[in-house]
Amino acid sequence: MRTNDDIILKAEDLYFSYDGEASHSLNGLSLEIRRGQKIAFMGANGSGKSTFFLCCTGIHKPQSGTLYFHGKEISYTKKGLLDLRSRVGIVFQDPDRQLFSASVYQEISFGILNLGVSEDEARREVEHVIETLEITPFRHKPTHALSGGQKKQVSIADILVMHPEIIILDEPAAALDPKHTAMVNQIVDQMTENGITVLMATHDVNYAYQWADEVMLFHEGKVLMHGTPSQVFGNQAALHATNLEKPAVLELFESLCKKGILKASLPLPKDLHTLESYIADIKTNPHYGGKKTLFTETKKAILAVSFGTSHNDTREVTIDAIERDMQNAFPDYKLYRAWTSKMIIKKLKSRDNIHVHTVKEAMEQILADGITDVVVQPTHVINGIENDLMKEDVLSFRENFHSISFGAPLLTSEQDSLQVIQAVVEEFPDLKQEEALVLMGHGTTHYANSIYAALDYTFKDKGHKNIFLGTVEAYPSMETLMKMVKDYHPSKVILAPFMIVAGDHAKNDMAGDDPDSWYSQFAAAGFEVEAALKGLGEYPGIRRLLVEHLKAADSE
Amino acid sequence: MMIIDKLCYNSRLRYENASEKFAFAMITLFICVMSRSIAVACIVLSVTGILTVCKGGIPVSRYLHFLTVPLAFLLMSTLAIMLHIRRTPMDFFAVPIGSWYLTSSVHSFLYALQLILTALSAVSCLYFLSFTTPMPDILEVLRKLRCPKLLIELMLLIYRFIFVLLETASAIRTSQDCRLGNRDYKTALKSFGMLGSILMIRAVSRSNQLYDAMEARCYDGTIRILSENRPLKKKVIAAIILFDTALFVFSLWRRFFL
Repeated sequence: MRTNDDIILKAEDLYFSYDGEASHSLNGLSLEIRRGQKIAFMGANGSGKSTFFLCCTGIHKPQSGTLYFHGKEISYTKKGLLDLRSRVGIVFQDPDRQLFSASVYQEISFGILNLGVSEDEARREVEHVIETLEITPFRHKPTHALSGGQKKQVSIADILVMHPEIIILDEPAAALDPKHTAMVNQIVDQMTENGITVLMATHDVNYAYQWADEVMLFHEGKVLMHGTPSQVFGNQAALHATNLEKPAVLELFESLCKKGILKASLPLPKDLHTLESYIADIKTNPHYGGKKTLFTETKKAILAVSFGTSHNDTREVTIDAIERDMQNAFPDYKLYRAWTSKMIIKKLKSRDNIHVHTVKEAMEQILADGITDVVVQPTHVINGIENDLMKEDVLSFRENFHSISFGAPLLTSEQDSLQVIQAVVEEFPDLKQEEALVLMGHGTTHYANSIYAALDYTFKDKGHKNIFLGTVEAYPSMETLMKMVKDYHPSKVILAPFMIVAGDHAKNDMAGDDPDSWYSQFAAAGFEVEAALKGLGEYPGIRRLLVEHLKAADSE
Repeated sequence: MMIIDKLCYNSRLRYENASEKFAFAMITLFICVMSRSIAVACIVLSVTGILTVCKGGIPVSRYLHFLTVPLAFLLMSTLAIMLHIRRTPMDFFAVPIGSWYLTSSVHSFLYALQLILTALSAVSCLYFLSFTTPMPDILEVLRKLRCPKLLIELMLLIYRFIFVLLETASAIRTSQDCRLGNRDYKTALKSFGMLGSILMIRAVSRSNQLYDAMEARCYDGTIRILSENRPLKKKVIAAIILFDTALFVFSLWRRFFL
């Protein structure tokens, strides 16, 4: 919690008019400014920003209302004003309005000498500021021969040399070329680092958005709105009222969110660089350069990630078999196992006292074993939520490895679909034309679920009109399947799981005795039903495909 | 940027101590005016010319061009001294006009020549100063000479303002030209009048703004500024003393002993 001590400047109900009472440039303006903050003053031309700045330095005295500096009311006596002006500096928008001397050196020395310091000290300060603001190359030129950017540098030096607590910059980048704008911005950053409170009037929404701690939106002599840049620039109505536009970063981010390219739940990007990294991250990059440099010999490992199963019988012929094949393909690599289902891990622990690593635990183990490069191969069927979470977990260790590569889940490319179909067909060589093979996938609410319907379509397209694919939890559901299978009029329905393991779902939801099981439902519909309890992991073609994915990831 | 201003900022003598240059120019000027001698004027003219052109690096053509500026004026005014209209012809030449003569004596011719040369050499001394010394440096010398502060501050501000207003005027003039503001004599006159009036208003508002900006930097009525002084060089001082003493002695000799 900030205390009142932090408030360096406070305005209370200021009224100021240039022409008697006809119109007010400041119209009941109240605001508070905290020490060390970067504050952007924005608003239409004539909204009172410059008038307020002149009030801050006591050039204008508000007709009513009070200004407080460090909690004390500003005194308009000669001494009071000199004291205020020695601590609040203002850089005017037009340098020609500020530079009164023809010599750069004389010009800069003016302010500091007015503070009453000795000539020697003034000389040192002037030299110092000339050097830090890179004025040296043109220090001997007369001010009227300087370019706009150089004049601006000198006018900032004018003020900086006085070491004020607050610096007011009235549109410092107006009419400057990009190089000088960047230079001025850099000078401003330096001021903030030195603890100077910077008040800047600007029309550059993009700069204000990424630079400011707080944005004050002026409108008709009052603060229409103030807050963090995201708050202010998120308010379309306030922006419209003050003739401002949204920063390009926000505009682009919003548009990308609307198009579903970026998640709206991401924190608002502060600058284009952040937005760029958001966009770069959505690319499904299988290979991640780690952040650790490679200085010892490489030591590679495979991390096989499965959902897991509590049925030991199926595990031996599926997960174990897949991992064996991987190990055979890469005999030099150490192979680690990780499961993503915490429930199953817990169950195994309590039932058999067997501990299987979670992804994080496995990564910690890999790290402890001094591995430098990791190739992760999931046995997931689709690029669903399980796969995304697994990637996130693995990548949280990115700093510790030289490289991390990800093999694709089973069904990723079109080629994968064709190979899976081939593997399924090979597994059921005796399937007759009049028999229907119904495969049970898991299904998910993730958009990747569409692959099931697509694969069902592809089966038909490749001439296997008697192979149907459905899911337990999503579309195509049992209802859809039943309709299609009925239309086919098969003599017999053969049920098989379309999951890596033939575990709970296969044993209960598919082949169980429960009236809701697929077996019971097909039987009730009058079909002859046969259940083949064989997980995809048992199909040699499937295992081959997973190993191929692993090889592809390793060669990246 | 005005030409003289540009030349002095580019002069090779710019970074010499301003007091030295000022002293040289002023003393020489003084001796030159005092001596009223053609020979002294010629010496001064050539020395300052050599210094400004060879040492300072100002192009000869430019320097000569600048010298001709006062020359026309000088010729016109000395013509009156040199020419007489008399009934009797004088010893130099005489052109009869009816029963009168447009005539001149050798003495008045030499007197006119001496006036022109003295004036020119005096101007050349000032050119030397202004072609080698930027205005702020000259002001610093004046300050050392205890010139009233008010005058110096005025000169400082006026000098700066000349350029600000020139820039403004040239911008207005350009924009007038762009809109055919100087299409013919009539429009040109009108445009020039408008330029003058707006420049006046601008000047007033500019000076108000400048005053505000100076106040914001704790201005309290006195302009305090630092100047970068170049160290005095003993060799240069010695040379100046030597030259001016010699010139002084020479002029005394010319005046009283010849």
